[in-house]
Amino acid sequence: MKEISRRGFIKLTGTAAAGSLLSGFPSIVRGAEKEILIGAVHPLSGMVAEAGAMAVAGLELAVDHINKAGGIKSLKGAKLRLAVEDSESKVETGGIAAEKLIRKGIVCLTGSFQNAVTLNVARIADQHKVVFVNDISTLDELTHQGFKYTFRVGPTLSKILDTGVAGVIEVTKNKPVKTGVVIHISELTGKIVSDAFIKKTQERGNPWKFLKRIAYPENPMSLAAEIRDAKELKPDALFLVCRLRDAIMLVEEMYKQRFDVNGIFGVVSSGHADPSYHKQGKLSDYTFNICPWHDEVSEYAKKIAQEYEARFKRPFNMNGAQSYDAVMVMADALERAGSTDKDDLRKALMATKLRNKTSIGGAIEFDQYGDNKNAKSGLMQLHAGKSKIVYPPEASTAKAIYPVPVWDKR
Amino acid sequence: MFIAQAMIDGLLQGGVYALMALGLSLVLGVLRIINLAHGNLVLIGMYTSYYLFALFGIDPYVSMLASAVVGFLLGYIIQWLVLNPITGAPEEMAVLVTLAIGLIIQNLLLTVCGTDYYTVDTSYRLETIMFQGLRVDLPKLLAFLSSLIIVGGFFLFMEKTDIGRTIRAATDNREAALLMGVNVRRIYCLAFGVGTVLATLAGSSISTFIPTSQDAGVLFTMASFVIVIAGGIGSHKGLLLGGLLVGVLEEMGTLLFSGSLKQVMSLGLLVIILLVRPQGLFGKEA
Amino acid sequence: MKTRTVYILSYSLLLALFLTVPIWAGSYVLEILIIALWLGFLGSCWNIIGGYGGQLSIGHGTFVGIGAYTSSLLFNLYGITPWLGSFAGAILSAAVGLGIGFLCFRFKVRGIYFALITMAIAEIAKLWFEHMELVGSTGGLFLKSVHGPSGPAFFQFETKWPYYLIILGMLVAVLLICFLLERSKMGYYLKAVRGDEDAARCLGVSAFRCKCIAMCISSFLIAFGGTFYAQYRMYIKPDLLMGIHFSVELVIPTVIGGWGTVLGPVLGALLLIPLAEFSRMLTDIIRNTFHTTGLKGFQLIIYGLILIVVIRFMPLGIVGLWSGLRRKKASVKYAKD
Repeated sequence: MKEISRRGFIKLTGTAAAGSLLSGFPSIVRGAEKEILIGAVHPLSGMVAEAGAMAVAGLELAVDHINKAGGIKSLKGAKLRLAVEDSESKVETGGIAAEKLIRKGIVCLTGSFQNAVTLNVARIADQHKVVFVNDISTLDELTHQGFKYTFRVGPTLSKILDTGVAGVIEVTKNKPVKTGVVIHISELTGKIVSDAFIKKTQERGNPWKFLKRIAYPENPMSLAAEIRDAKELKPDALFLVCRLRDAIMLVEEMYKQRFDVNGIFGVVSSGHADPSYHKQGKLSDYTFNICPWHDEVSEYAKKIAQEYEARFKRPFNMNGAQSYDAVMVMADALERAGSTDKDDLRKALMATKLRNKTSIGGAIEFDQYGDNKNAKSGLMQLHAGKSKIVYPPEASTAKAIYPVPVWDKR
Repeated sequence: MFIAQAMIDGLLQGGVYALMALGLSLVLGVLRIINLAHGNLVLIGMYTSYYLFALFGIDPYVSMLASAVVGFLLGYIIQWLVLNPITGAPEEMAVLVTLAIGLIIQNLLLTVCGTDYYTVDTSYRLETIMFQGLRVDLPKLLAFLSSLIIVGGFFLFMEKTDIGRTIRAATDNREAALLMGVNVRRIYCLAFGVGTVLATLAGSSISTFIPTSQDAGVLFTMASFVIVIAGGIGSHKGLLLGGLLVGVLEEMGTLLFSGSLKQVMSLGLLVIILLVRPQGLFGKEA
Repeated sequence: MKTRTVYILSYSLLLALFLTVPIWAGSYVLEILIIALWLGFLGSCWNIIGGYGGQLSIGHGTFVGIGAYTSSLLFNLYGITPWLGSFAGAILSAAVGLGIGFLCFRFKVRGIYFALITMAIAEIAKLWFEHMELVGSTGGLFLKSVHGPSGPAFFQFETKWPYYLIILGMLVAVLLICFLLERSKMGYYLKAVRGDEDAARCLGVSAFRCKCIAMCISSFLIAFGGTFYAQYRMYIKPDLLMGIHFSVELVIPTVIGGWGTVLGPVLGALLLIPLAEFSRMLTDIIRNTFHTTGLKGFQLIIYGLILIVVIRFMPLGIVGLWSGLRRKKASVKYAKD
């Protein structure tokens, strides 16, 4: 009885497993055909589901624009088609998703937001020699793993902080920051960004002194203690690296304790870049954030932003911008390569010089590692719930307000 | 001065913790189930209050009633449909089932309510009261007071009512309760229902000062486990004290350590408690 | 005996089937199988203390992490090949496991309390690793790539199938260990302890010793799974392998498949991974039918529902009842209403 049930179950499981694996969508034949499949692995569930959705919206818009303009002309007007998979914010799922897409016959791949997931997806793409154009991940090391087919459209952490520190110095020049307190989430990303930020300021000759570095645990129920701590020190500025929940709780707590500083600076802080944070009214107004951002000056970018917001009912920010650009980069490379051959594409990408883009920075050009040489970040500030770029000057849409108004006067 | 402020904040926070963890403790004590979905049940309370506020302007402390009803029904059904049938099975199964339930709840919320972070913007959301030079956070004070009332009510329920006493009997000695003719299955459903009510009530009150979002379940589950371990499984008075203690220690903790070191310290303390006095600081013999 | 020959034959055939997979399966199938086999391996190691020993540990991620970090750091810093480094990791892991077991079992921590302690310890270990300079300062640990012919000597391969064969081998090895353990004296002692610890002790079984040994073996073996992961992904971060979240993940396949049995963990893993893919495919079909791109996270709802149904109708795992072994709670039968 036991033996049969064991063997029977093995057979059953095996067949079920094999069956479900070998079934699936039919592969699309690659080459000079009517459709070119572009794959994307993004987190569509879990903590950053909204960011993933914004990125995918950017991809969809870009694909539409290319197709409306006649597709890839050097490939007989072949149209782009998007295939998106949910990474569920997990390394394993992201990897399986990438494999699934490659099996479907994608010509290029983009994604994947979280660093660990992106690394895995890039590795798998590289194994299959599928071109991977990363849009959002800031992990410096991504392009230094020896992957030949990985390219990155957005700026690396070092580049972001370069602009960021310069930006802070510039916008505060009328009342320079002398003392600062760093409050960051004690999770790995928070630590690394804070470390890098402090190092960058040291490289710039220590324009201000860091009084204390306060780390709060992930998913706090209260940040009253941390704010009390910071308040005691009376710093000129606060530098924050947080997630959305913490960002909201921090400003609420600052208001309740009437903790005034000359400026709150998010440092590559996902929480402060999130549109939900921007909706906090007088609490979140005047917050700065150092992060990659979309171009709000060029007509090209503005038009795309408008269409995006009208169509998807969500704000256009770096998530949408960088993924939009990623598709444009891929389409441009396809156009110049005139083929979907892996190495032709790679060569074409290496020679990219794309001036029309929606993110801040110069024309998209890749260095020998696959990083965008001219990628830039910006320093933005919230004015009446809208984000305005206040630095660098060529991308800025408003003048920075510093020092910021105290709580009671808002 | 600083210490006094930390104490006040800690006590208020602790009261909230106690209410939040009480449901978990009840389920752990009576049903011996490690409920990994607990935080998501709290979340249901938060969303209930949020929508009633956003759509009809009802204050969370009023819509608590609705929260309680939703919570009880949900808890009763979960126990009846899913957990009762596997009572004979080993505990691991129940843990997995609660994990699955938590997963379902979180993703249902994601699908239906989206990824936004919602704030219940009551008129008193950002208010504070000054008391002898100390700042008292108003939403937290209200949460604390409501917590005391609910916990007090719960104690009375367990001591004075028939159902309460039966639940306690089933906790103390399952076999004996059976022998006394108690319909254990129904008691389990009631117990899980009550546990969920406590969770959703906690959710309603904390929605006034903590952002509501679909991914917050884990946060509340973790926090609740810490309190339960500290205060003791099965001892409700111990839980209250445990909650207050953890609340105060956390606030004081920043005086000595920062960030994760604080967490490590409190987790380490928990390990020691579990080793030396597993019934928690105030619990009865396991 | 004849039945035994049939047994051996059918298992050998199955093994042969699995060995041929790299020949006919694509990269997608291989990826899924590698993950499934890896989870099966981890679950089987956990099974030794969790299933056979009956001690619900929700903190085994700690040992996976220790294994991964030890071999990876030894490699990155001193160039020691992970083939050897993994043993160092396993020994360290066993020491920690023994320590935890010693403390817990000496203090007679049982049941849910043991689960809670392992959860707390898992979180402490994760936090500790996140703050170790050696480990966290570069956003996780990147393993140095060794290209070319010396790759395999350092447990690095350019293609997937060597990894597949290695994890298959590791899994078979653990299954054999479990098989032998089941039939050994230690195995019988463990069964007795799991069934009724107090009664077993009355009969002279040193429950403490058995549980400690089981904990030791379990943590020793599971560390190899950590090394495998590090070599496969070439990048590790504390929260990927350590902490409560992953510790729960690795228990799931074993519980579904039937804990305390040799094949339970493998069956569970082989079922769950395709199940997850199935949920995603089903969700895609639903989305296409209703022409919507919404329903985010729907596949997880389907997955959760299936999980509940599976547990509901197979509360003792796929492998089914094993007779003569009931937990104290389950021995209390009550009339159905």
